[in-house]
Amino acid sequence: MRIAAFLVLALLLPAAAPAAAPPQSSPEVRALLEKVDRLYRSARSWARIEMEVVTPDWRRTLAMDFWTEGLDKTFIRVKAPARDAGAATLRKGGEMWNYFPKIDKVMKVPPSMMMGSWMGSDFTNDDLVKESTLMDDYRGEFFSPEKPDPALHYIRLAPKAETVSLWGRIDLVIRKSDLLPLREDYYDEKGRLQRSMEFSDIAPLGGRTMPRVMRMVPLSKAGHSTTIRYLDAAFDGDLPADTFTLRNLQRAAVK
Amino acid sequence: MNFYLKLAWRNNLRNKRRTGLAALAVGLGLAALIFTDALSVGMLSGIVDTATGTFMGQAQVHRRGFKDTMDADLFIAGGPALLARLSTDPLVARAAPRTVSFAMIASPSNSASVLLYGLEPDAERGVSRLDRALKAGEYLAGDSAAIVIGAALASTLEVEIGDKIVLTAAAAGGGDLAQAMFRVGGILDTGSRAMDSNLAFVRLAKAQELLNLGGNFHEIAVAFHNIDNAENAALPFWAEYGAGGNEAQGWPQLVPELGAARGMSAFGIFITAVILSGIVALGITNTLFMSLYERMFEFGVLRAVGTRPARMALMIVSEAAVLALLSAAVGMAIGWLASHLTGIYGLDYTGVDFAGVTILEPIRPKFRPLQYWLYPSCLFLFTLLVSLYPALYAARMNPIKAMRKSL
Amino acid sequence: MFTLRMALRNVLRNRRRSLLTGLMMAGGFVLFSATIGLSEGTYGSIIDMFTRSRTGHAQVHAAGYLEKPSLYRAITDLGRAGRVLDSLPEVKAWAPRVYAPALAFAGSKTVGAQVMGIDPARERAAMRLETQLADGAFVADAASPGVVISARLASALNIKTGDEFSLIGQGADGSIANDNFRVAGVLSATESAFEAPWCLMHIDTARDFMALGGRAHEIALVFTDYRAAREDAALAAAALADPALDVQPWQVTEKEFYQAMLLDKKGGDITNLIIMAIVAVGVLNTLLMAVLERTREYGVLKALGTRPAAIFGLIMTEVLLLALVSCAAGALASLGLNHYLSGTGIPIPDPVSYGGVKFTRMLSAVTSRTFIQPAVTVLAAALAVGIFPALKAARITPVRALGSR
Repeated sequence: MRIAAFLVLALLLPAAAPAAAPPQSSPEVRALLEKVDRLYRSARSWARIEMEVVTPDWRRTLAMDFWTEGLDKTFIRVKAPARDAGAATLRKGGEMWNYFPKIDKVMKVPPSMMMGSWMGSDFTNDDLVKESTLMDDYRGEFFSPEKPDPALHYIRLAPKAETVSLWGRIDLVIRKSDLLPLREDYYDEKGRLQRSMEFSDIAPLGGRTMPRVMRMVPLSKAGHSTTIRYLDAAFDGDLPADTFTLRNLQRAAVK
Repeated sequence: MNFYLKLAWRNNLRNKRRTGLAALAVGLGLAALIFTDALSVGMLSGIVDTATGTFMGQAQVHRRGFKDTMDADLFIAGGPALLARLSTDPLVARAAPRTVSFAMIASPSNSASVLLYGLEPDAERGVSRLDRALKAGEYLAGDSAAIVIGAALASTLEVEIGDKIVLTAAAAGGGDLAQAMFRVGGILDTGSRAMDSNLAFVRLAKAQELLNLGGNFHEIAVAFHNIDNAENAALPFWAEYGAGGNEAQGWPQLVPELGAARGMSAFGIFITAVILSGIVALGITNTLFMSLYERMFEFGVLRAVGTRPARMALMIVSEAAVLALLSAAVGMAIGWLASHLTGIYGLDYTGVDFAGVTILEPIRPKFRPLQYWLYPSCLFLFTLLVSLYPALYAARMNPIKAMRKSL
Repeated sequence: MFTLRMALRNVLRNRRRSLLTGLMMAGGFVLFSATIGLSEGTYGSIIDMFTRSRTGHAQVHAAGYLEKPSLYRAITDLGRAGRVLDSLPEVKAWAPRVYAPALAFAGSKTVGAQVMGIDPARERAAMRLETQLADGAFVADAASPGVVISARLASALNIKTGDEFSLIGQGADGSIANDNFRVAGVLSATESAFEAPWCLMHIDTARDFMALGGRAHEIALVFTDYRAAREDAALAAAALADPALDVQPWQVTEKEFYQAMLLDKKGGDITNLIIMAIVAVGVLNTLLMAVLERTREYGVLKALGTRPAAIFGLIMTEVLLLALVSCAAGALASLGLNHYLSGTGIPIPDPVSYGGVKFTRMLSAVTSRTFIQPAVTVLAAALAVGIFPALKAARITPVRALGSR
């Protein structure tokens, strides 16, 4: 669950160059995955997003600013709603800190809370911390569903033996025209669909064309879903030097 | 003395029915005491045995402060060396090393927070009996990447034997998160909801790898040759293995509720003994007085022919003594029989949770030497004491009045 | 009536014999009654103390809460529930509570904690929470950031009275609940029913923290008679008449504790059985003697023409008379004894702590069972035991009887 969830963010956040391990995907697949990875590669990025979380008991939409650098630095600041405004999260390497303006304290996220959901969403804190790439950890091959759409690529990914993953397979649906993902389906080892990611609203964003809306639905939990909307983004621009510092967490001003 | 005993014996036999019934009543009192004691001791030792033998062990060694935070870095100081010393200690039967940590267990459907134990099935044999609760699969025998979880947890995670799960835990030396994949190798049904939903077990080596512990571990569970050692706070054992930043604790410190339950039970037995003694005293007095009144004429004659008051008293007391011996014999026999018969099947309390411990096996009355020497001796002395009143009465009897009286 | 008069005279004729027999029966009665009284009294006091230290005699929850506690499974209309409960005479007091898991952190230490929101004024009427305080002051009657924490939480975070710490949790509206609090007091480590890392605060402060609105997770009930907990819980459920609410007595909410008691009681029942047997045998002995020694007497009666049935009736009446009088005497004595023991009790040499309650003495109780069970035992034993010699006496041949002795 963790790895897969992060794949969503990994696709939009800069990804490092793949490691040297010999892949077992076919050359065509490898080329596709590499293109997908490279599509979102960026040394630094900034994005303004909206995250809507739906549960059977409540519904909430958070507006936040998202900064990244490399694969291991992330800074998030919540702008709305008022109750959560000013909260911030910093991730550097394997460590994570939270800041809440009301208590005015920086709290290092303890390991026990890492598996807790991040800001109430279907993502876990751990999702924001994990690093993985499709190419390195999965072996892919083309497949044909019942009614294939000729405009789409269908790739089936299976985790490599040494990969720590809960999934039996992940089915990727990619547009042939621009190699943008449309959908990811995660199946457990018994072939049951456990969660689905849908990508939509493909439009220009920060100079690139990419799906601006992602919706994640965990099928094992009825009535839950998390939808992320990208409102604005900038890639490879300059970021203030102290973006990824603890000090920045406590700053009230918005960058 | 011999003469009086013989006389007392014969006097008792003269009215077999009354003597028999009296011996029965008094004997039952003794039997009751023996049986109650055996049952209580059996129950408590059964509970203690279940509490310590299921998984906890009779004593445990930890680094001081580990249990408050469960910090992976607080492994036992000098663990491997300590374990070696423990294993060769004459008091210790087995010592099992374990890692203990909070972890997150995740399946494709769900995730849950668990207490993760890394242990070695071979070392655990003799210290814990968890393998008996195995409902399906194996208890970490072959596959090293296997994990054993409770049935309730398996159902929450919607997994079965062979399914993949991912464990995430904070490793030692920095608190970095470590993840590893395991396959469900075995499912437990301990009968305790808490155990079945909150615990997970993997091989010690795998846990040490996951938690970056090297050769260290967090806990050593100990089983003594004699379980009573666990309660003996005076033993140098505790100071010896509780040195250098570690602490060694016996089950009374680990599960204080048990000790409390034992205290209450012991007192309960005491009160029951007092009450039973009361009833028994009543029975004895009654019997003695009855026999006294019945033989008033006879006593009058004895006095008339010159028997000293002291001798009269002695005779009564001797009769009481013989009655006591008979009763003791009867009581011990009945008590033994009752304990033995109940012990064959035991009293079934399986499934009951008591003081945080689930009873998995039937309770059997337990033999204790003092049941067969302390209680009968008390009965004997008590009877003698109680017989003093009728004895004095007989001693001060007026011979004429006695001979004239008839029941 | 003739039989009765004769029986009475026979009984009074030989005072010593009757006294002995009566004493055995009355004595057995008193001791048996004391056993029962002590058992009921001690269990009763344990139950009362235990249930009044945190859990209450019964609890009201949203349906399913007990099996799967969840922040979202709450009692919505607290006002209505409160009014219904107030109207029931069996409910002595009730107190609403809210619960939520949270992360507590102070300095560099973070630890999981359990937050409990209480209404201090209502708790005072229902529970004995304040007596469990070891240091500082209890939760104020009005909402404030002053909280009371358990000893375990205090030691895990290394904080004491007067220190500040922060709590982070999940709000019921999805937001991240976070706020600072001040330690107003710390609960006792050994004599408190709050062993986990608890954090007690005013219910309104807690509701604010968890964005729970006016709801509550639990209503703890205290009845006028804890012995009727099951019935009263059912009564409350019927009065509330809401399928979305569960009302469960302590036997259900504190299942472990209840089972432990049952276990202990079972052992006690066996002991009671044995005592009954002993009393019965004692009665048998004395009665047998009393009846069989008078064989000659009955022989005379029969020779004079008394019907066997009449003799049987006579003996049984004597036995019954003696038994009744003994029971009456025994009842009086046991009333006095149990009453005394219910107040003063028997001090336990090594006071014991369980579930945060300290037991210093064994108490007795005066209940109907302390009279009925011994009375039934003695009477039944006497009657059962009287039958054989009565039958025997009824069937003797006068010649043989007169020739004996």
